[in-house]
Amino acid sequence: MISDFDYHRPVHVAEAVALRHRLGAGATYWAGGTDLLLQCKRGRAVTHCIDLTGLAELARVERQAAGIRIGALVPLSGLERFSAIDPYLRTIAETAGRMCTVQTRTLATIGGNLCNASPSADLAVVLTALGAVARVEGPKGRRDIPLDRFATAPGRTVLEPPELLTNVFVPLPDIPRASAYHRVARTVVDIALVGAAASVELEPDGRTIGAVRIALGAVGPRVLRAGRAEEMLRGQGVSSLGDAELLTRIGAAATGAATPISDIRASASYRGAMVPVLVRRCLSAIAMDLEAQAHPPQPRETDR
Amino acid sequence: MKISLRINGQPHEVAAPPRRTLAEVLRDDLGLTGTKLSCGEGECGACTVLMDDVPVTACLVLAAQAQGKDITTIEGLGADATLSAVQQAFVAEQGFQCGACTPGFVMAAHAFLAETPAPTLAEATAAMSGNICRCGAHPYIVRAVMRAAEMRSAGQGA
Repeated sequence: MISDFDYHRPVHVAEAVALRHRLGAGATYWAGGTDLLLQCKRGRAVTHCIDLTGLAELARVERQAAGIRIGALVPLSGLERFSAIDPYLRTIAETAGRMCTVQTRTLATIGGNLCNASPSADLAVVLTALGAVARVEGPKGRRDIPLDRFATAPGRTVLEPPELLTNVFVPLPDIPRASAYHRVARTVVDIALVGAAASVELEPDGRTIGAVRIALGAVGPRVLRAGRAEEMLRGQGVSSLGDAELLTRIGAAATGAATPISDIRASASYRGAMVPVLVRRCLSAIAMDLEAQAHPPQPRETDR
Repeated sequence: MKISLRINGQPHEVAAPPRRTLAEVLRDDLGLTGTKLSCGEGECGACTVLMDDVPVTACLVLAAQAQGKDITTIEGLGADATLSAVQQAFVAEQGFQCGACTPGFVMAAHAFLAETPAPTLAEATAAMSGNICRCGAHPYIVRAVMRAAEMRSAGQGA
């Protein structure tokens, strides 16, 4: 049984933030509600529901020169269409398409998923690897927080009430780049036992590895970056993505970044053992993607 | 609070506390018990309805969030003599056993076919993955969705 709460439906971000500020700690921002309503059914006390679904400004997706700005209210079903915007975003689209169910993906939002701050959240792992930046608005104005510094612990973020996550920016630099996400899960729709995502950008020469981001899910209190593993790739030739010996060392370095626990879903040792496997799968997929970009298939004689 | 919404084309005004879900309002306040409430956690899909033509689990939507929306439930699909193509196909393929999950499946199928009128078997299977049939009729259900797609493209039933 859910306890009684008051309901508010602001139509502007500033109005929502002012409400949250005035109503205090029992007031909760409410988007799709797919996690929140369950928490309420299990006894979470909410005194005021601040329904965000009337904030049309947060439901937009904007392609900008340097990347894409995704409104916090965009549902997972909206993200499923992102492959059409840029092939690099296919990782977001495919990941969103495997989360929860068809009829909850229409409700669950990207912002809610990030603010829920689950260390196993597939989308948070992917967006961290893609170098996404969260934009939040508060009474003192807005600030940008790189996603790898957004969550601090299960269910906790750096948001300082009444700050509100308004959108997520994913940079799309005009250079060869590829991303991938691999995970281990009991079933397709279950949450990840372990997840790893990676993104590799090439220097303008098209042969040297530039920025690398490797993110790990469900092996720590929050989504983690495997910084040492990333460093081992930076500045190398793109062919090193196929260097089995190097990939083994990178996998070991990534495992070193993980601090897994044992729980009902998997043991710490199993989780740790899966990290190098998933990182290697991501980097192999990225290598194939970059190769395909460098050598697009030529149309065959019969296709003309 | 007062909530105004359209259900199956008819305007309704209901008075309900903000904590009340859309599924509860449909079933308990309006007597539209075709929408089934089973897990109450968005896992089983039994409470699937269309909100502005988009499939949602009504157990996870606050009725307040349906303010001003167009809701379609199983009651809005077809009368006994004029079943929708999806409903006819479920009957023809025996896409059910006990029937408790059927309204949710039928609503999900309607939403799916509106977006994907000529699906592959894999697409139809994936589209039905958000609904659970504990009798185990899934293969028949997917066949019903494929049949409904054929019926609709042949102009038989809406």
